[in-house]
Amino acid sequence: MLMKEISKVINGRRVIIKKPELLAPAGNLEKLKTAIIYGANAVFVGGKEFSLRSQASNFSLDDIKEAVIFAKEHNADVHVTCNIILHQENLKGIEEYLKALDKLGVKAIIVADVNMVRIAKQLDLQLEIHLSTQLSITNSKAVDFWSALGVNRVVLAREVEYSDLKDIMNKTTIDIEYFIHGAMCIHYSGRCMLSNYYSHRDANRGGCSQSCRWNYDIYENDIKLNTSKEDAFTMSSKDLALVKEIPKLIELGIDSFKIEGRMKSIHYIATIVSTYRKLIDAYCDNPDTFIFDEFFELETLKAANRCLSTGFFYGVATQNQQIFNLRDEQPTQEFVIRVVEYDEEKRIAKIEQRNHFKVGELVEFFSPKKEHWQMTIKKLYNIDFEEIEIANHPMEILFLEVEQVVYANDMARKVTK
Amino acid sequence: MKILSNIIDKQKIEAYCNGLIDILIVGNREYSSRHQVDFSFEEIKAWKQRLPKEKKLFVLMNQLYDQSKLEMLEKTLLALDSCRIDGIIFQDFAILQLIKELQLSFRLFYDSLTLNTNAATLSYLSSLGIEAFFLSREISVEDIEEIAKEMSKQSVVQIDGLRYIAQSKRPLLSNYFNALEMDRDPRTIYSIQPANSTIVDYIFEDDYGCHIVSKQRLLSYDIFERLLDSHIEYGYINGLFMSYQQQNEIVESYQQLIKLYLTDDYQRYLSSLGKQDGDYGFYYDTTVYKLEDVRKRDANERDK
Repeated sequence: MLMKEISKVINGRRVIIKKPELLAPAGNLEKLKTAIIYGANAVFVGGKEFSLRSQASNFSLDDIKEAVIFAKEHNADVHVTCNIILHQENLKGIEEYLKALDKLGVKAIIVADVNMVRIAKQLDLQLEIHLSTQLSITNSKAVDFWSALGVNRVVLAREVEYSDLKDIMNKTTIDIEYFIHGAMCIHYSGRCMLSNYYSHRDANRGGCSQSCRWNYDIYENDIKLNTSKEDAFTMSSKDLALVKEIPKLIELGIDSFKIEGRMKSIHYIATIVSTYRKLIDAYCDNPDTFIFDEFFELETLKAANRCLSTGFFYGVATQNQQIFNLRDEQPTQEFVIRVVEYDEEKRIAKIEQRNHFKVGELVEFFSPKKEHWQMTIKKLYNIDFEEIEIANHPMEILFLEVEQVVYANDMARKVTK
Repeated sequence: MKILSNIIDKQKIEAYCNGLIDILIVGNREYSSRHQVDFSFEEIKAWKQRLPKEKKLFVLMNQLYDQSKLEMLEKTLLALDSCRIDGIIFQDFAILQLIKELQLSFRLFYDSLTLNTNAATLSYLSSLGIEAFFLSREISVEDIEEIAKEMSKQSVVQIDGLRYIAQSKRPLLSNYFNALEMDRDPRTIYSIQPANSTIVDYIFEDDYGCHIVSKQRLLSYDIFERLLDSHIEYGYINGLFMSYQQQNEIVESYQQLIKLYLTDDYQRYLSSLGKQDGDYGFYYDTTVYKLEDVRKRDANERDK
């Protein structure tokens, strides 16, 4: 059994010495910077080549260069997904692309095709090779297999439950990355061809049409069992949220906690990253006196547009981990403001409008630097400093009188009663 | 080309021994899915002993296995070794790792279901001890030909039968029936049809979760000559949900085409088969994945 040292007693108090990496998604540079500012240790992005999520606005090499520079300035890392399953037509240009990523200082590539592993090893690059969850690795022997090929980290399948995870952690030596938050594939990742068959869009090359979220008629011996859209067969998963399980996962010595969602908004990224950052730090500082605060769970709900669940953590996912007929969908709290800068003397914040809001509405500010706080919008000005009542132009630069100190990149959302 | 297919009727041992399937596949619900009949180790051993030398017996270990199944896997591999089976069809690299650690020797066919899509990857995997690869069912015949240029001796192409589409670890039927309080048996075979689509597929549950397979049979008659031209070594006929008689007829048709290949009778025999019920899957079809291609195709569809 290979025990990794997770904690140590210092001055009579146990502290966590193996703090997991918090790994966040970023669909563009703005999201990447937001994730890092709000506390991510590493960010994963898709390049223009060889990456899934073809609909995320993927990064050019110039974008990746800027991302790496920004990340390094903030002591964070950039991982680049190269996780398509290669077809004959995708075999060209891999070497050049990997060399370019390596030269830019990318920390790791996330791959799903063994040919990528082979090429990266042959090129003797500095970057690490992480095995994507697209390969659905569910046991320690499969981890050993990939470890022997030179893979530095395995991102486990979302189907791995806690009891199995514990055993895997005891029996493996390479880094293990585990999903803690975000959307779930209902089928084994990499092994789902619904999109290919129903939309002719290749799921394993980033074209997934999310056919699993559709409604289906269901038949037994050609007799239709559902009578309407309301009782149609569905295969839609609730999103994963392992907020309460974080202490258990830290104690296992998981190397990296992954948040899913390169397509998500900066509000989502800021909220989720910040919540897990605070939670991980609070637990690691004093694990033996840590008491779970409901605040963490409530925070994740503010960014959720689907109901949240613990997925497979406690065993095979039941009907409680699925969405039936959209009745479990829920609206996200509305993100309205991003702070651009703050004039402390005048107590005026230069802000960017992100959604419609108006004078008289209650908003909640949140920040990586301070506690949340709320205020009612009272004085709002346009770019010419004329007083206005409504902010209704997306991305418009405005000025707002604020009751507390704010910082660049703080955000605010409407408080719904 | 050698034909692989599943044993779907345990009573027909003599028929299979004397039949036209070159590589017979058996499974057991403890370690296999999407197979029709269970074989115990004793039965596997007995069948292996009865089979003529030129016929091979492979065992289907086609799952992704949870950590808690590793002990069972190890015992299974040791038991199969003592049954002296010829080979294993596997999906999980844990199998490869365990075989190495236990120092066992089986012929290994890798059926990743969806991942075997290019020659470079397969060539590398073959250097790790894998003998043959089930090519993804979702690639075109041109891609198959391309792969075959380098890997023909190690390629398995599914030529007939139902196709795997997806597998969930979740019991999706049970979950649905429970959520909607419907009193139904989740271990029956159901069909599903996406809204606004004519496609209907099978869905069923077993101990490994929920499986979706095509209801339409894959056909390869029209492109079979191209597969033979490419020297594809193995053709797989998925026996799932077939009757023995249907399986026998299908196997016979492809064996006959193999026999008549490069003769004047090939086309005549092909024509004599008539129109079969089924489709040609992705052989002539392409999937798109780049955003601009998706948009272009959607626009074309709208303009039609």
